[in-house]
Amino acid sequence: MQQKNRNWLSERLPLGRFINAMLDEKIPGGPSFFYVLGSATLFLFFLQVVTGIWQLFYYVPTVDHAYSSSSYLRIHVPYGWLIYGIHYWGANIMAVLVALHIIRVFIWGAYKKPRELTWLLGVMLLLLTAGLIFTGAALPWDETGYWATEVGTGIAGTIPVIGSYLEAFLRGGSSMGQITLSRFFALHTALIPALAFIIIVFHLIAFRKYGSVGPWKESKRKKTGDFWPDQVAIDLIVTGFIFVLLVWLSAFHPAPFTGPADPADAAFEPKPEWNFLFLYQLLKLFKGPYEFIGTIVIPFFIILLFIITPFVDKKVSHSPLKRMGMMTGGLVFVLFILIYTILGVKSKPAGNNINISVSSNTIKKPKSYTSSPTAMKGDSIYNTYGCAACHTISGSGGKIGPDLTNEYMRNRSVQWLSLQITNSKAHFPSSVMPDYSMLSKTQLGNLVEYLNSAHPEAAKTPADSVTVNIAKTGITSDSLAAYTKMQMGKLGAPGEAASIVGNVVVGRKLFAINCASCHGVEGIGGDTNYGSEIGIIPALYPVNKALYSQNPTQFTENIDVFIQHGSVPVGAYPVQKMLDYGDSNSLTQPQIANIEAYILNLNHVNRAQIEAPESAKIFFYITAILYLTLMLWLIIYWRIINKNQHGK
Amino acid sequence: MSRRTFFKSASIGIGSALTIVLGYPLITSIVSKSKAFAAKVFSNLGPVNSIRNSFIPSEQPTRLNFSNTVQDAFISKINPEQVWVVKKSPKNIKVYSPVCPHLGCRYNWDEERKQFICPCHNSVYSIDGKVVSGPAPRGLDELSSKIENQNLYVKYEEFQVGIPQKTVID
Repeated sequence: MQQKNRNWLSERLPLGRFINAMLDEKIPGGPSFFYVLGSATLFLFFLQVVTGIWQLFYYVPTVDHAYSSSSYLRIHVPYGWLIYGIHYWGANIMAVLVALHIIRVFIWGAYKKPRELTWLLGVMLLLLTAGLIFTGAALPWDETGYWATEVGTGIAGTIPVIGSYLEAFLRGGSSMGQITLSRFFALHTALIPALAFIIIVFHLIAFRKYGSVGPWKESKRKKTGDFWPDQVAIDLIVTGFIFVLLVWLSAFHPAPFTGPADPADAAFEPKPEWNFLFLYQLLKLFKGPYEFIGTIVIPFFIILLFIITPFVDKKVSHSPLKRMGMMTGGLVFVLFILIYTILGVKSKPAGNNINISVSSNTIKKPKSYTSSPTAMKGDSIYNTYGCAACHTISGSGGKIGPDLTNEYMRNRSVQWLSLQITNSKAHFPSSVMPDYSMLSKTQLGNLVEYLNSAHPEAAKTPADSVTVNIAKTGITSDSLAAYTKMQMGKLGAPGEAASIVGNVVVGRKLFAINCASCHGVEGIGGDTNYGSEIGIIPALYPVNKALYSQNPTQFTENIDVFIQHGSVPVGAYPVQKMLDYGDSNSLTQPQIANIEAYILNLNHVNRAQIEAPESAKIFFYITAILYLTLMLWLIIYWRIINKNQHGK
Repeated sequence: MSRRTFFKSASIGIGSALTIVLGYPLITSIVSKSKAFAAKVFSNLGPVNSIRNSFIPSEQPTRLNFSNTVQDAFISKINPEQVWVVKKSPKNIKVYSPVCPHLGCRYNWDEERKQFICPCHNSVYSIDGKVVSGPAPRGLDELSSKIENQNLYVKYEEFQVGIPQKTVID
């Protein structure tokens, strides 16, 4: 019966014959780990297609919602972090695998007659991969993606004759905007993947015609192995490892939230993705009328090199030892790309001295003070000069001054801390801290380093420490909470910024310009506000108990209403009022989102925290254990087989 | 055990493991709900003084329009919404959802009968929101409200219709 059904199906749809034709292949020299690169790239392409389609369930290609929709996917959708993470890291790893695949094919001379067309189709796939990476970076419409696209399309525009048309085609006009995003979306999700799919099929058909080249030595090629199941198993062992690697990267090193695209941001340092850095760096060599050499001549020359490779190297031998000319040329080319990529990574664009990079969304935690000799000296100064009489570090010390355990998290500059120690009243006119101007410059430096390094014991939540501040100002936490509550009612709903994941580093800069004059440097607060009931402008670190929440979305909404609509403090005639930055358009919504991310960071809350952070780690451990178990089982199984064969 | 069975089972083993560890999160991501933006905010309905006292014979419950901010996934929208307000005294005010708990029509106040009547299937409710007659499975849905600074605030929510329990729709 089953046989009959199978016949019925195969007569109408000869799938089995097709699969057999794809799998039934003899590999000269037997299967090898060297041959997995192509299969692994194919596997990654498949993963990119699947995770790409899944992102379409959430992603919206509009300039006002592209960033918030991808943030929503990453933070709130169960396993959204994984889907986005696999796609993001998959693209990076795919670029590496493609490069390795090309190098492998080049060394083995697998492009030689009669496989020239397989090579040329591969070159087309390389260009399409580059196209996918370039167009994909724009889609989240975040700071890095936006500016990489601006620069990339701008470069295309400098090509002589066709440049302006190419730029107009890519941007959908002369400037970046909604049409640009729509075009990049269409290119990235429809046109290029469809083309790539067709060419992959051609690449495989051409490859299957003559199969693998095999080892260089004629004698070793005599012995053959099977593609199915031998090579397939080896391919899967490697792809399985790549998958575990992707899960690890997604769970522990997620792509940064670089903040929503802000076309008005003059301080941003635009740089392309690392894959294109060599071209970007090369461009700098050619100025003015020679610019076209960098934008068109060199890229076309590189593509030409790839195209002519199989027609130049016509020797019959595949052995790299007998093709030293080609090998040297290849090595020079690889080194050239590597060196220019490294130079590109290190470089900064000319004429832009504002050093701001948003590659990370959290300010890095420094090393423990015990690992630095200078900080250790600072520790002894701290004890000698009796700082602990007033300040607490790691749970011990006085309570008159603020707890300094997590001082490093406040991101204070060396200058700020030095001034605070030598002349506290410069920052806080009502401060009772004595001036430690007797400290030498070296001692001061050591002490600052000590304060700016990590100390043991977890941070107390701001909700706990807020009582200290209240005690100083003579207001009970109840009345403060009541005050906030009353204010909240008037404020209205959170604005758009509350649903945007801002970038801490950008927010810090915006805070210094817009907020620090009243709320104090790094949100310490404390400026007087005559006529208001509490008498001071509230600190943002630690933030008011009623506004604090461990849930980043909730926390952001709580503070967003103040920044959007402003507020008038309770009291007879408050001199200072919170301005309505959102309603008055004094700050854009992306800017407010960045400031909010920074305020959350001050209070030790990560704005980009995913909804179930522990699930990410658990998922990685399950995947890794599953993979290791399978590998262990395979090793045992393999040993048993070899033993049995040996026994015979 | 031959070499071939080894490679076959290895391929099938790793292949199925990959399918599962990839398939599970993919399916979970599209069938389960996110907890995001569950918290709803109170909207201001205006000063309490301007609301009619429904318990004076010549007066009636008030239908109030307001702008309700709704978080729909990553988009924040402002929807015009309305509620029914029944005022006994300046401190005792009840706010009802405008949706009939029977099948989701919008009901009205019948001035002559002094009752809420739904035009769809003739469900009738008293001024206190209790079912008087008709197919309605439960009384009118009261919304949580509060009075602050002489202003009335309401947290607008929607409830499942057609069932006896009052269940919030997320």
